[in-house]
Amino acid sequence: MSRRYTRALITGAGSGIGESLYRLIGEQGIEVCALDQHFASEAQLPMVQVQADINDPQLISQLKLQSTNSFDLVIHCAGTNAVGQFEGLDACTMQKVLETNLLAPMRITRDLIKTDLVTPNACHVFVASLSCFVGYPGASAYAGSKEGLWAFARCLNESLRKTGGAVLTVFPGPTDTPHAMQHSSDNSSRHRRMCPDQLAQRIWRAVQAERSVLFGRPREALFAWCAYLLPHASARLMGRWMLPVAPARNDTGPSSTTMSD
Amino acid sequence: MLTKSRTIVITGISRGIGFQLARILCEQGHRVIGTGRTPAESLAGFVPHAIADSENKLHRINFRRTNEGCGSSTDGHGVTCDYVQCDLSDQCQTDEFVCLLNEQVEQIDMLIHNAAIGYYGPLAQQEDLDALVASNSIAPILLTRALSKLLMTSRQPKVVFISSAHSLWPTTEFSAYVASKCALEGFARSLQVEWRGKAQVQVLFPGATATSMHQSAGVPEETIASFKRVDDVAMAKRIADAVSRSASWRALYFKDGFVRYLSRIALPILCLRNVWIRA
Repeated sequence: MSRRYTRALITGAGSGIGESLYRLIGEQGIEVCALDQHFASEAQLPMVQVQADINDPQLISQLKLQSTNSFDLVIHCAGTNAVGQFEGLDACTMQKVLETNLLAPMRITRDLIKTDLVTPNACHVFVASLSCFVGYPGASAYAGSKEGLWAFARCLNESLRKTGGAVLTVFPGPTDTPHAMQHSSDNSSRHRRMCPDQLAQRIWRAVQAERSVLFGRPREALFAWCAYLLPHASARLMGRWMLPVAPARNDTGPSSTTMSD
Repeated sequence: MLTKSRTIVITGISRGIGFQLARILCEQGHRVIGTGRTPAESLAGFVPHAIADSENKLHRINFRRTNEGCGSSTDGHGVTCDYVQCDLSDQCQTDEFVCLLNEQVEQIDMLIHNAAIGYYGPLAQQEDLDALVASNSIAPILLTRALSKLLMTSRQPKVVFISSAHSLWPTTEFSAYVASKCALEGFARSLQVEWRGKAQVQVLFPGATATSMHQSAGVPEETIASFKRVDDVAMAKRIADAVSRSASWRALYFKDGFVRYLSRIALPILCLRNVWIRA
């Protein structure tokens, strides 16, 4: 039997996977609080759009002012990237990547728990990356932030197990999002990327089934599996694919969209 | 043991593993430049010896003699290393440290990221997550980038990240600490690919060590007593041995190494279980 949810919080809901998710979840009749810096279109009720930066330490206080009802589904989609040769990347950009992808989800989760703005048996979803399984040359700070996020999700899963909570970590793989278009050095193979709506469907089904890990497609799972068991071979392969690394692109773009890798 | 004399930068040498590691590497004849947040005058295990630069930032300090001795003495006080008081989570202080190194050394052969802070307890009670991520994840990444030019001047540059055995399995009370250490691993894995043939990147996983870190992290005394902890000198010796080898990943406990390999096998099984969700 699938679990029912009543109130959801989605970060990075302005575009990409976050946008697909918040439309899909909203259609289920769930009250959705969508969080982002920019929204392309006005949402229909029962959705609430909150324009805010997830790096703002006062974010949860802002949310508390809007409503004191607790969320039973929290989806962390917001993320950013910095691609290019490591030595050439701007220090502030790399810092922002770590703060947005790792620190902000940790801080939001802590503050939601602390202020009782999330139910003890809530489901928390973190969008990580396939770089948790294989080296990602040219985006090392991004890979680090996503690996840290996955570790945090594993720890949170352990602690929420006692209260009936669930934690899902998603490893999307190449997804056709605006952020992927912005940061990918080669968009010629765009047609091979997964559609965000399709991924959102899979995430929603995994949330209902209270799964702990989800890959974009079986091929991504197979790739991750092989990379994990054969780290040296996969590192060599990634080196051949990704190197020479493109010159540094220090534009992080909006911290709202999810990078597909 | 590293055979040739190298210039080694170690972060967080004012106490614990970093202190012992700096001492061992100094004894081996390397030039060690250490950092720490403690002022040079207040360092417990050192004797301030001289100020080496015009701006009073680089302190030349001697290790105090211990019962087991400090190796060969060149000046009657023990082995000497350079020390810079610097909080690496502060970008301005990091920039000053990098400028100082650019003035004082021609190359860096090895950069060892040892400095870290930890918090223990339920997530809701872990107050300063910003400081934790800044010290454990952001500072090592930005320092590696800032020193990459000096590192690449060396013929055999090496960057070593001291992670933690805690990162090998989920630990609810150390959740933020584990996340910050795993972030370093993910970063190192990608940098290994990017710097292949240019520089070696190594990650070490020390187990529980008898340092003051557990107390400062807020671990209760009875919990600390239940840990089987290795002496900090013994752990520093293992690290000094590990940095002289070329393995990319090295668990410094057999038990942790075993868990690491076990987790590599267990995780894909977990993934396979989840792969059959159809949209």
